[in-house]
Amino acid sequence: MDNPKDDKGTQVVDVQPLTPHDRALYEAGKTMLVESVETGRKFCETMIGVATGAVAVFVALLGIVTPKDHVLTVVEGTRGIIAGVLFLLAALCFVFGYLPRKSKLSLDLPGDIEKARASIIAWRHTWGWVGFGLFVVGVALAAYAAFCMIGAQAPESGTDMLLRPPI
Amino acid sequence: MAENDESITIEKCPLCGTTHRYSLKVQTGIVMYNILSMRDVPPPKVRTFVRFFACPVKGQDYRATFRLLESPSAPIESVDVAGEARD
Repeated sequence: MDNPKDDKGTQVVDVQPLTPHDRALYEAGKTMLVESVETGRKFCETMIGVATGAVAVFVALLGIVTPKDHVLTVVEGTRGIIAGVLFLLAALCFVFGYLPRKSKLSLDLPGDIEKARASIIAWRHTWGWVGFGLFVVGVALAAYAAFCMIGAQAPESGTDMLLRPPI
Repeated sequence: MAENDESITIEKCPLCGTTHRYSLKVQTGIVMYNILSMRDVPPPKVRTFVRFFACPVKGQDYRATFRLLESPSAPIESVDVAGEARD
């Protein structure tokens, strides 16, 4: 259909009813709009458990790979501690993201609602990504620390003496 | 960033067949030009947008494709349908 231009240069090219695909997209958009505030909160809630649980998993893993009665060196101990601290810091970041926030808004002002919603989403997005970044670095460091322990020397025992080549 | 009010007229609504007029909120950005490069300013260009509009008669939505003229000094960042135009 050939539509005339409005006085400010707006020209309509095509007009048609919504297709089933359009309707589905529209519903998906509404769902995203409504649930986007909850998504960040649920992510932080889940990751708090994952990050704190990672500390226990890492300690258990170190216990498996570290030879019995092995005394940690300063370097080995520092690696392990830093990995654990990173997990705890990540959990702290997720807690910040999960914390309830206070804002004032009026239901009569859609702008207020939009501003409050955008602020909450931005807050959770920021803390979610900071926490996730720390968690990933912690995982990498924990894996490195665990692999390093595989090659750690066990204290001398009778069996080891038998395996040494004769002088 | 600046917000401009535009209007769009749908001559024949696909749902009720009548004419509807809507307000558009057009957000434009600001482009700083080097005064020495003024001869390189590109001409205005036409941009096409697809938006959902609500038919006030049927209470249902339909889609419309329309074109807006974009000035090189004010690039269009977003176009929102602000409802029926109140003349």
